Amino acid sequence: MLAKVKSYSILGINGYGVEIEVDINSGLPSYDTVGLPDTAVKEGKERIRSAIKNSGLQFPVKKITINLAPADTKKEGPSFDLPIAVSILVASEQIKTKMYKDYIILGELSLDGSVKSVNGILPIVIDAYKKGHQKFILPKDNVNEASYIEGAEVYGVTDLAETVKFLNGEIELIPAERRVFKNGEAINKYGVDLADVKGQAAAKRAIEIAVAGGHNVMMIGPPGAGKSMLAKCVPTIMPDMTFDEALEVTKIHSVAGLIDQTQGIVINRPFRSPHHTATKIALAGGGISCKPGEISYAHNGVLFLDEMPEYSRESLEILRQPLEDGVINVARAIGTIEYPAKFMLVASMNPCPCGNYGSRKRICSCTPAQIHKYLSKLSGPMMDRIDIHIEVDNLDYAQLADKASGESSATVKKRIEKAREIQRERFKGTKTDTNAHMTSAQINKYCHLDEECDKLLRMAYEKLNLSARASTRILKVARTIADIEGSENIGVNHISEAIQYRSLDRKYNV
Amino acid sequence: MYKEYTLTEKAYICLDCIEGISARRKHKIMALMSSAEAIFTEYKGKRAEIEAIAGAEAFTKLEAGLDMDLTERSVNELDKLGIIAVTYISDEYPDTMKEIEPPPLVLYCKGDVGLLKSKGIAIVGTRSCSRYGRDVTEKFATDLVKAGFTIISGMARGVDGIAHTTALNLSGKTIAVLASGVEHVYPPEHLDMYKKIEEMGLIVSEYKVGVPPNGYQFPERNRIISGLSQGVIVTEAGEKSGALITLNYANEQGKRVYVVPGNITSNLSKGCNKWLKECQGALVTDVNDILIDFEMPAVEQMGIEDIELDFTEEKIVLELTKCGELHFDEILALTGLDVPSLSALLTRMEICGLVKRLNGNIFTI
Repeated sequence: MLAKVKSYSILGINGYGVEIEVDINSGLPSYDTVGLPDTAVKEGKERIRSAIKNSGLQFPVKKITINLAPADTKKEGPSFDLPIAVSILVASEQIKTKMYKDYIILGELSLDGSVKSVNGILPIVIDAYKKGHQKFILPKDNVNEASYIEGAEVYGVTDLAETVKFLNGEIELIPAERRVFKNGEAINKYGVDLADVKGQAAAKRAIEIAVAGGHNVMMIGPPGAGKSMLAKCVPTIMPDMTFDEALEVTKIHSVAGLIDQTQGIVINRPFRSPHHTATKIALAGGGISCKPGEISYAHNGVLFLDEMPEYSRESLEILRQPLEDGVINVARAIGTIEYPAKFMLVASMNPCPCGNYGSRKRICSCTPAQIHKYLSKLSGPMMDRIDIHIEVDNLDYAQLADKASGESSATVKKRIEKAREIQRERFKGTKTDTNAHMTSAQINKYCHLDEECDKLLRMAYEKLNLSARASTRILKVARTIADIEGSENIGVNHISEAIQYRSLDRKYNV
Repeated sequence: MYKEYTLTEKAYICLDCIEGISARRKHKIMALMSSAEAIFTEYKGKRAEIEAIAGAEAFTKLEAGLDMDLTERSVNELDKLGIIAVTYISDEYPDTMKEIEPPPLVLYCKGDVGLLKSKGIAIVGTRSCSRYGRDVTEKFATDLVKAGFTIISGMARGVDGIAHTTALNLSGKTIAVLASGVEHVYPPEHLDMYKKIEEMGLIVSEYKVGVPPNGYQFPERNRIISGLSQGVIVTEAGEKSGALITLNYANEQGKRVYVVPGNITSNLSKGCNKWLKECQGALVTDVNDILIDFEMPAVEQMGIEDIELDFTEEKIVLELTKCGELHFDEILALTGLDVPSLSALLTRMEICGLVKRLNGNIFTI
């Protein structure tokens, strides 16, 4: 007998429908899966056989053919276990009602018949719902993730026996309650707070400006100066994600299986810090199944590149397009997939290979040529995308112990939210969202300088050896500083402060 | 044509192009002739004398090299590259150079050859200079340019480069003496500097086009640095620094030598301090010590007192004078300002030249 059960799978971060057809014929007992299954799908045979048997049901001893349609797309992962088991049971008439036809079924089976969670549930539910499917049978552990979608009727199951009873109408299951995303639900889960950073007043301020305007940041300083600590504080002061932003992030994280299933959705902005040995595929995404990379995991959050010059030049250069467009196109044999990758880049580096160049306490042992080589690992176009340079030095803060520990992340976050609000208002109806992403036309429009500011900037060029490259960066940063202050025009103070954040342009000319 | 060469000059250019005979011997061979241009014909009759001076092979080498056509070709070649050859008997050849041992037959130049006879001071020193060395070099170069001197140096990394850059930034005159062919940029990262010097100053070398910067040529080149200048300043030099070679040449050539003292614990100043122990008269602490030797009026050393400061600025400057350098956070604690105002204030003070920003957000005067 023939049975057809609906399921879904993932391509990139989008779901597509898969129809599972099972045909049971008399003949020599066999079990064949067709429709480009990968090993995980093929091995499902053993899991399904045991699960059916251990759930007190009969595995038909006949010639079983399973087809996964569409037949020309590669099918991956164990999420077809449950729908295949269901369709075998339908075909062998152990499930008697036609209820199964209304449901999208997904789940991995254990040998004892229990249903385990699978990856990529959120994008599947979103896309299936868009296509008109409303009812889902999913592993119980995935229910939290799926229940954020309004209108979707999600039934969580714990084992195969329960599923069969439900589809036979023998028991009732209650659809999961819809979870509502509350703005501000995010609690500081990063384990750090800006108040914990002692001293570094200038660096903290620079980070505040960077987050307020969405500017990318480079921190320069000797080892142990607190660069990583500062970087970790960046997401704690970023505005909370909206529901749409959270959904985007969750989709990507869901595909990778990075979701905390008790929460079901990602509410804290991601903070990703790939090691500097990361290959360009690890960063950009790719591989046989075209998986998203670190920069997509950092979408709507922070990508922290510690010791940036240590990364291979090749992997760094791939960041250029995403930094500009906020997306990355990964092309592989299975197709071209566009992953979102709008992140704030926070990078850190030492001033020289030994780390002590310019330090007050330690002596640098590098030759000028070595320093030159080290700094030249970062290409000009790459540095062009970094608006703010922060210099940190390890200072003996015992001397400054009497100073209050400074503001907490929550206080700073409030100021940043205000500045972001001004920017939202300003760029309404355009593609730009923050000052950092202003087009040159927008810079001309919104960063008008009066005569005094213009004079100051020109003098700064002459006296401080600023490069031509610095000009638009300074304007953008000055615009953000003015926004934090709530000032409509850029003033002399804003420009002068912004100049302080371009240290790499004018120094290190050994 | 950059320059029309006389027959005498061509004779020198031609002789300079012959390889395998030292400059000293070439001068002696030249002295045998009734006139320089006569060398093309007269050398044949003086085989014995030439061989006595320069060895048995010298005559064959001369025979192969002394050729009018060949000379024309090399002159055209120089012209194409924009190089001017200033020969021993050219008008532009500075008299001071004739006193060095041995004087180059030809100086290959790029840029303003008029600078060869200008009043120049050489500033040389270590290639890996400290912040102190950098500051001192900038200070002396600035003051000397303002006093009207041409800054002469070797375009090397470190002190040399800083001296040139300072002069160029002030639109002053500067001469770079290379240890390779004049078209060869070494070190390569100084390409920008090379181009600017070519445009605004002068690049000189005694080496022919195409000669790479061989190690032994650097000390040789140093005698020209001192030869072109009226005095040599060493701002920072370690025990084995090539700058000390220049200093020795200057001493031999009877030029004035000036040495800036350094920290006794610093390896980078050991050479300077050692020299000063033997020659205390060489010690200089500001440009007036040099100007007095040239009977020039002393210049007013610009003090910070001359700029009007408000209360906070004065506080910062005073503290910096006391401590040398302060971290941003320390200034913050000192002044009690908030971060944005202090950042803005420090930028403005920096533009006015009141403070300087160092790596790691540290400020100094």
